[in-house]
Amino acid sequence: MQPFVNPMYFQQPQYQPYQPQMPQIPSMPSQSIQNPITGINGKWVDSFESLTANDVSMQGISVFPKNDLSEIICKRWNANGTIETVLYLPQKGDTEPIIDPIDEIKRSIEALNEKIDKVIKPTKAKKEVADES
Amino acid sequence: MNPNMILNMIFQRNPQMRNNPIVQNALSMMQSNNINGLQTLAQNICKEKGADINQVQQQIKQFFGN
Repeated sequence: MQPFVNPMYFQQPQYQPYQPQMPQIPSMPSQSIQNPITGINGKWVDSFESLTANDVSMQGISVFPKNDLSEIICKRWNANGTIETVLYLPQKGDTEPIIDPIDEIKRSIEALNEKIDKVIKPTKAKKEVADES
Repeated sequence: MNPNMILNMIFQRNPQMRNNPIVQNALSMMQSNNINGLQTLAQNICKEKGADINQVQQQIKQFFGN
């Protein structure tokens, strides 16, 4: 009769690798993912003096038109904590068309050339007739 | 959990915060240990909001029980 040998006798015990238990961060209630703001922030104002920093949205640009549409101000927060302001004024409809000075000079030169041609050409024609005779 | 971790967690979970240039700037300054930059940022915000920075500082200290 053979002596009983336990098959597990010569095997090294298998230990699970040590896994440190990290403190679990308490889970916060999940927020629904909000879509990026697609509208325009701002409001109609009687005067810009009534605006405060709280009127300026932290997201994007806030637009503040005057009620009489005489001016529009846009404001936004800069990354350094200051508020950037841009004033827009209406373009008047009765403004004169802008004249390009170079076009104006070209036109004057052409007019001068025409005048010179008118003066020179008849004298040339007379001279040629005189030479032939 | 240190304040850095808390702020990072809030920043990651709130998409509006992620797009906020002031928060982005503040976090990058915090990560690079730019104390002067953070102080200037706080001063600018207080100035724009018409608040006294010393009072705000006091209120924050009181909030955290100091």
